[in-house]
Amino acid sequence: MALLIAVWWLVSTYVLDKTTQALLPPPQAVVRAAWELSSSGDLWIHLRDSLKREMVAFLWASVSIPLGIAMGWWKGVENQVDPVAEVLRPVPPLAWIPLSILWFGIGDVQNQFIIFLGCFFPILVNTVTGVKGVEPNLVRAARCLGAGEAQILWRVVLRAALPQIITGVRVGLGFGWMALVAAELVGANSGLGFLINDSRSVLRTDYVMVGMATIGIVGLVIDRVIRLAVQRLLPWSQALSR
Amino acid sequence: MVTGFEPMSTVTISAVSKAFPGDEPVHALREVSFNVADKEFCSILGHSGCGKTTLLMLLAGFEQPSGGKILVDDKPVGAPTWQRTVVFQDYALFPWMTVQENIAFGLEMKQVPAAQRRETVSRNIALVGLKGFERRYPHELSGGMKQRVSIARALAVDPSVLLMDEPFAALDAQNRSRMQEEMGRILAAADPLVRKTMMLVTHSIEEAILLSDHIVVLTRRPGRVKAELRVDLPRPRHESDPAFVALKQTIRDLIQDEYEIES
Repeated sequence: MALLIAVWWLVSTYVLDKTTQALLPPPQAVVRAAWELSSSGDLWIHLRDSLKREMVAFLWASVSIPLGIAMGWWKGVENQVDPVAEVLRPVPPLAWIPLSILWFGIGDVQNQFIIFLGCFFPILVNTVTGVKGVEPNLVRAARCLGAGEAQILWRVVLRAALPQIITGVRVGLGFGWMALVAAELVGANSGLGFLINDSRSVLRTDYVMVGMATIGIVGLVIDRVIRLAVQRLLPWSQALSR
Repeated sequence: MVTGFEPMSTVTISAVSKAFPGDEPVHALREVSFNVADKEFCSILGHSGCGKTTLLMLLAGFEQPSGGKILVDDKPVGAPTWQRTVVFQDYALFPWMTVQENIAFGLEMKQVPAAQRRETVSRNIALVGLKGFERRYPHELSGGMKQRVSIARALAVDPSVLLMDEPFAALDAQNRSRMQEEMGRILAAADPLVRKTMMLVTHSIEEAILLSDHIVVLTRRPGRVKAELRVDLPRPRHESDPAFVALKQTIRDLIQDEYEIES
């Protein structure tokens, strides 16, 4: 990390001339730009808009959890839904951008739709895998202790599959975050992706880099927060995978 | 000992066969018949792969027999119910629940009121010697302790028949013999609250003699009844007791051709 920054600094300060330096501003310029953007509040507004889109889309995408449980539990549901999911899944969310702009226009809904697609399939696939991987004897134990179908799904299958579902959520949020930025590059008037693209058009590469760094850091933070939450809330799953 | 108010739990297994369909159907059991009396401890002894676990799964109602009938209290066995609980070889504890939550699970399913639930849970925790471990999670317990939780969980709902599938097989030798002794102690106490009709699947002759009133020996696959024996030794039983040794030898001779000698 330190080496990377050192090389970056050396290259942009001593190797590049004044014109090309505009394309790769030195680290201190990026730090200064970050300060400018955050003290003016612009960065926070863009970050807030992006996070809001991510959250809304994620909430919509969480319908994949009950759907995935149904698919993993009832063969009939899987037979119906799986062919559709298998065809749609390999289509990258980005490929939906043109159509979604026509459908929803520029703005929140279009962006949320793209993020939704990014989140949906990882959560679905992991939920189905999680449900299918539930130890059969746990279900049998619950049955012979008097649990009915609904209680088995709610109290056993959902709980047992939870670690895998959360893995899906982690991957999904990551995918969604990537898709979000791409969606904002072309279809938004705010957000971190918009910030990058807008700054590019006026050649503020220092702002572009601040935007990129923010995306990276926030993505990392989301991932770490979920990991930490799993460690705190599901200590048993850590012990099992160890 | 049996009063008019005690629920009777006799198990009647008549001509039960089980085949698993496939390209080459596997015949796990063929025409198995025997009876288990109320409050009797019956062991089903046999070589691994003789279909003894399959028989237990049929008794629990997880699978249906391909032929024959299983009756508990003269009623055909249907879907699984708390009246026939199972202790699994791999414990099958809910890893996200503490010891007391695991034991309370069946009581919650039965909608036992909270106060009574707490009382039943703590009584069963005491019974299996797990006081002080109520709030531990299964991953924090040793194999022997996990199996105690599993037994307590199965007993807590007050089933009429307790089914045990090689419950001590996954334990190391020392823990296994301790658990067998403790099981013997629980049985010797003969507390009517505790005493159930029990069926144990095992491949250990010693375990069967130590615990049973009645031993059913199955042949190799497809499993058939090779022999039935009564065990009348006083409890608690000791492996060094000459009568124990003699009975062990009898069973061993009896099934020599079916069963690899273990000791």
